[in-house]
Amino acid sequence: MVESIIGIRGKDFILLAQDANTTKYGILNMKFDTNRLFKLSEHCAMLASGEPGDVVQFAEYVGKNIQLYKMINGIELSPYACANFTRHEMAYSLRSRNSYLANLIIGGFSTNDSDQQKAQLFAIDYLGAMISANVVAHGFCQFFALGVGDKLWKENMTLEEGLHMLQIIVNELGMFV
Amino acid sequence: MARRYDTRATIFSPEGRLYQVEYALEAISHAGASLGILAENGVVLCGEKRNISPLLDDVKYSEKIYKIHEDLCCSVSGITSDANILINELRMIGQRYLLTYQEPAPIEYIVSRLCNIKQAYTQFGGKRPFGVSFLYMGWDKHYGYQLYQSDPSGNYGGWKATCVGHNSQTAISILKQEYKIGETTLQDALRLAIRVFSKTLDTTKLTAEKIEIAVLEHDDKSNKTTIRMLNEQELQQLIKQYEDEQSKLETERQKQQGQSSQQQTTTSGTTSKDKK
Repeated sequence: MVESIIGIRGKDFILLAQDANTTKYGILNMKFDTNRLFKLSEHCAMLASGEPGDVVQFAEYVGKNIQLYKMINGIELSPYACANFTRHEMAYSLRSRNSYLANLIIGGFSTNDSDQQKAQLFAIDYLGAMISANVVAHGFCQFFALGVGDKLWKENMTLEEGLHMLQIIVNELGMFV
Repeated sequence: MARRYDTRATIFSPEGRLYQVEYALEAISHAGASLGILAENGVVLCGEKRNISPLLDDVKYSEKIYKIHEDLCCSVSGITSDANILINELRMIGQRYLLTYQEPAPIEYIVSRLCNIKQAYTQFGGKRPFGVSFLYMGWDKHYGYQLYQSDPSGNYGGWKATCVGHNSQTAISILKQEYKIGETTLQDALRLAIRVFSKTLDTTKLTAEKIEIAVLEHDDKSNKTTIRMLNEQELQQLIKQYEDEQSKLETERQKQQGQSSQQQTTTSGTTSKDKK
């Protein structure tokens, strides 16, 4: 659970940040440019961290199923529906022979007029628990991100303010952005 | 000639027809009619009731119109027992979607899934097709108010106004002439429905106990859909409105006829005068 992923919800955007290192055996850094961002639809993306194999397998499975929905039904799933579908799959797989050790953050922008809140952010952990919040994080940075978020997040944040908050969190982790 | 190829539902005839499906459609054309009309601010579904015996127990259910989920309602034409199975399946489809995605299913999704099931009975399994046609009315956030029709073959289509069941061809030709695309309000749709039914029902006089009407409206502000059945009073009011209009038209027509016959007598009078 070393690799960190962070999500911040702003006025009309979602900020998704991820740790690009892949470490092994607690001491070895294998990769500096890991991609943990998976596109679910035109307006929705997912960050996934955890067991490397599980992460890719589960994220691609969910992503492709959401694309399939669009092909079959001709309409795109809202971020809320994407997140619930993902959580459903996670909870289902947990109670079967093949469970995935993957923590996820799903962020998206709803293009439907009837949705009041357009920018939507959700966090799902490997046990299938889902929450919707303004600042979410998985991994070691969780301890810092949520605290900084509590202090600095406010309604109708601009992108600069969001990036500023992100910089502070990353500084706490002692990493370079 | 057809007899050889119609015992099994799942085979083609030499002319490339599926006889069992056609026979199912034939069964539906004898059943009570269902009529659906899409309006700018809602949808209307009407059903012609066939079971109107005074001995029937007054159970609080509808004979033809069923609610599938909060935003979707359907009307049945055909074998009622077949319909009950499919209605159950429709409700399950809606709920399974709600369980997975936590939001109401798009209308076309539900219709399309049921039609896939109906199609399976025309291709494999050796079972007969369902002898039911449905008219669905619903609202969803993607396409607003919608009206769909599905039949035993598993085909479905979106409609602005349509009819299935007994005398449906007559009804559809009336709808083609009288339905105004883009200008029909809910009130217009209700009046049109009564007009169509009074012409296609077998009875000479339309009464409130012979039809059922359900109306679906969606309130954008509260984001809630209401589906309600019109009660006997409202139905009688609509029928009375229609009958008043008809009698007015009749008296006007008679007046015009009277005028034209008067003109005829005056002209004949002048010619006889001339002859003298």
